[in-house]
Amino acid sequence: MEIRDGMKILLMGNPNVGKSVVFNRLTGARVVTANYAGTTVEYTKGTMLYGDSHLEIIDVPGTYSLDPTCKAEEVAVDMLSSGDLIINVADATNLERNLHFTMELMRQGKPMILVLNLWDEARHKGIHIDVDALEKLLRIPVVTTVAVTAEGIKKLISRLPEAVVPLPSGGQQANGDLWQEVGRIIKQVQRITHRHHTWLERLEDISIKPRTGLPLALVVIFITFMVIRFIGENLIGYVFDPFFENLYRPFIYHTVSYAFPSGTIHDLLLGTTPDFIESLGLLTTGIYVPIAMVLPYIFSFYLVLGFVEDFGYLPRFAILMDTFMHKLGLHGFAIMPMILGLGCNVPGAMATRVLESRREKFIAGTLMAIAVPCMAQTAMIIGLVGRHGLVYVAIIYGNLAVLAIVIGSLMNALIPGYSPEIFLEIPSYHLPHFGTLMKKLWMRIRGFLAEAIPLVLIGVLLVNILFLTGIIDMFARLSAPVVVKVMGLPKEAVSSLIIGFLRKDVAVGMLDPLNLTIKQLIIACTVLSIYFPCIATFAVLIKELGVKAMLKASLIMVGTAVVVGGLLNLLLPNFH
Amino acid sequence: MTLVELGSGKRARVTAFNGGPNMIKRLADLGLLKGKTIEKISNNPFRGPVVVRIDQVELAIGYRMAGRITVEPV
Ligand SMILES: Nc1nc2c(ncn2[C@@H]2O[C@H](COP(=O)(O)OP(=O)(O)O)[C@@H](O)[C@H]2O)c(=O)[nH]1
Repeated sequence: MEIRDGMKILLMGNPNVGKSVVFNRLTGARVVTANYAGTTVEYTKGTMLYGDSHLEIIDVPGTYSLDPTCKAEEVAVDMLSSGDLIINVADATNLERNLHFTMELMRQGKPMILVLNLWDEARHKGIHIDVDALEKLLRIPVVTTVAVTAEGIKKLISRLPEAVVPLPSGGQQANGDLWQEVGRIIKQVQRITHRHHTWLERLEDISIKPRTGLPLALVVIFITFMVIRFIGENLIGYVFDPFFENLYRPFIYHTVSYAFPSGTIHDLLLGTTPDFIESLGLLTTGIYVPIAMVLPYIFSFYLVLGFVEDFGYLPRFAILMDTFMHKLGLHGFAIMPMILGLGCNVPGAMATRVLESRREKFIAGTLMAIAVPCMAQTAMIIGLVGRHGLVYVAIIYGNLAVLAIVIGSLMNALIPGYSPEIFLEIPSYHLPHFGTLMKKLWMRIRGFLAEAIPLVLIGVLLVNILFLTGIIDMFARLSAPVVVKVMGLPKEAVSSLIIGFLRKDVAVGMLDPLNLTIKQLIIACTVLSIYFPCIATFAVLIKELGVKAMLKASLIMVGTAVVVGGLLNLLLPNFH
Repeated sequence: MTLVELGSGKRARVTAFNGGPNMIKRLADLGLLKGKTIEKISNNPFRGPVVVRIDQVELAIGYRMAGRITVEPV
């Protein structure tokens, strides 16, 4: 068919076939990809230049069939009618099931082209597919690609004009017959040669069987934590701190003092004390906290997460956690939003969409808001609490873990309904592609910088305004009964709780000048995590759950924060 | 016997599904069809999910659903 300007091209296929990577290749856009089903739940649009024509490329959420049984599939079916051409991306290592979807698509009367992606993986697994024969049988163009290295993408683009409306093959058939037809085609085009198991396949078995998988999971968690901390700490110690102390500090102090020797603007920009964390100046705290304290940990967390995601470990971990998660009213896959939430609660909240029922979304969203601190908060906690000893950091996270179990079990018992069962495809392990990892890492870091820095600056500005106008004092007096009497914190800690609505990192930083005891620090950091998610997460959760559900969730959060703050105050010893 | 009862490491042919059209379709979407030969990889304790391999793919199936899939060891 002729390729026209403004044409709409749909990328469709089963989940986890590499559609997003193909999309990125075609459009040059950057979409986060990961090795598990459900990464693309909402569609993404991009433009591709074809000669002088601009083509609209749409990455449709992955679906197993065109008979909508879940949210992602509904979106896909709705979008089908608006497309002019379909690029059907299929996983060459799993031809039978993918071809079933292809055959369903072929009945839609749209021009089509079939892409057999993951061609490198198919080769490794000893799967041989006779592409010419397949093309003859289906009577649509078939192209093989390795999306991560761009192999075959040029060919795909050059063959776009060959896309044709598939010819009907033997009228309407029932579903069962379609599988038989697929079976017949597979027999003619696919050959699988026997080969020895690779070490990756042996590792797959080891990590899925509970007896070996559970110990391995502990090892993986321990190693990821150590690696994240090692990279984060060394980046701060050897790169960011020296830079900020030796170059940045003299530079801004000279520049600002030159322009504003003293007065309100000087104080607003540099603060009143020389300490980068305590000064609460826009150019000191406002830049130092997000860049020098949080960014190194964002970098190391997403580096490690990206690797684990693309390797394919997370779905296996989800399955091992399934039984446990059922106790909290969730199933194993709900661990995904939680893991993402450890980086930033915003994408974590968005990922609750992959869960089937409203009940699960509510439980997962509330649990995450309460018990999953984001990396920005974690980085600050490691920075400020960690210098008294890592054991205190461990106590904070231990508190949150116990809390997650208690609150989850309570919600599971009290909220009517049951948790659906896990049913998912486990992707095979592959060694991540370096370029893809780096692109993903860069996108996430850029996202952090764009989201965090403005909010941090607003937060710091707001603190200054609240202090100058005396509003903070008013809040402090109002909340003193709870904050001082119940939780045992000084009333100045209220300012930190207020800023915690905006940014948790600045909020933790504001505890620093209060000279809290270790016990108070632990209580404050725990409460900061529980009482409310940051505003950005809250907005996403409202979108996902609705206003009414979020009101309920907020009540749970605030109530829990008061109870836990009080209990910790009663139960924790005074550490010395 | 059901998929739950099948021993780990054993191969079997799927003979029947004890469930509605919805369940059958969900299973079929992921390639689990009547007549297919599967290999059981693992059971998880405390009524956890069952993991099987069909062709090149591994699937995790919740305990209750796995209990409604009848298989015949081969
Ligand atoms: N080895 C290999 N990996 C690929 C290829 N295409 C995609 N991937 C990886 O497969 C995983 C799934 O890709 P993604 O684009 O998220 O799949 P989607 O769910 O279909 O959008 C990611 O880890 C990719 O890096 C390929 O051709 N070869």
